[in-house]
Amino acid sequence: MAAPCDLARWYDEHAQALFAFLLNLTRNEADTRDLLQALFVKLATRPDLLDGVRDERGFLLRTAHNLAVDLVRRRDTRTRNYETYAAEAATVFALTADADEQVFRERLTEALGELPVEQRAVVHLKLWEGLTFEAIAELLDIPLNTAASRYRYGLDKLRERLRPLYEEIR
Amino acid sequence: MKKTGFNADDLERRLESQSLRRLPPEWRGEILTAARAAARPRSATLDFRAPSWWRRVFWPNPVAWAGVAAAWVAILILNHAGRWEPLTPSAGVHSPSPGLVLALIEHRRQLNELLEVPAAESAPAPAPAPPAPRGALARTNRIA
Repeated sequence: MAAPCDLARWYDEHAQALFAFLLNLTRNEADTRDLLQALFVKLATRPDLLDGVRDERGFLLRTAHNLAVDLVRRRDTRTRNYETYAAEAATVFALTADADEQVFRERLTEALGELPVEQRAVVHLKLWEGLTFEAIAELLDIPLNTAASRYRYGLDKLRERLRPLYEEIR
Repeated sequence: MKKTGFNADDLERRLESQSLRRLPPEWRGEILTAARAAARPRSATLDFRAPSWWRRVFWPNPVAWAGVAAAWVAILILNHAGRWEPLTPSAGVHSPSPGLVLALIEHRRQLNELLEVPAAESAPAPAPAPPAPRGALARTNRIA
């Protein structure tokens, strides 16, 4: 059993990043909460999982990703279209008082929801976790070139989707 | 890449600068409490839930499993009830024993004597003798 202080420390240091990543993958706040809780239950019951792990954040993001993928598969078996589900836009970004910026964030949330979940995961880890392609490839257990190409395709789609708005408000 | 004034570098910088939504603060207590509760030894708390494998087997189609269970209950009830019912309607009707028949005949004879009914009228017709075997008939004829 994990010491209470360890569990609290892991939460305080990593829960924000895990929350944002899971929310971007699931697009659903309730699912995000369930997955985050499942992850910490796992840590509490098997604290040895983090023994000898140098990059705690990377390990936790990988575990969160696996949990999200499992959720997606369960949804598929219940004939729910995940990409349609992704369009249910849980707000991924913080609210802002700047109206133009707020519109941009809403469109960005929609555009991210249209990406396949694999591309969305890479885009998120690169842009908002600041990971290198090597780290992303290791974390998602995919080849380096695959990580880079998923990012490039994802970014191209976002650029096409957001260009009209961007040119309007710049 | 097209030169549109919105190249990948611009876009990446713009996207990176977007603030992500904050984690709801009330989740901390809820999630940590749930995690610690899950980590407690099982023996310390009573757990009335079915084992996980049990739920995995039965949960996907609870209605179907309930139907199967109901069918089995019905089969068992019918099977049990069948043991105590007569197999045929006539099985419950008993033919009178020979002793009872003789007693009834004697009773009737005594009744007739009391009422002074002629014996010829009251006596039951003697039962016809069963046909003798062919061999016996031939022997009788030869003797005659």
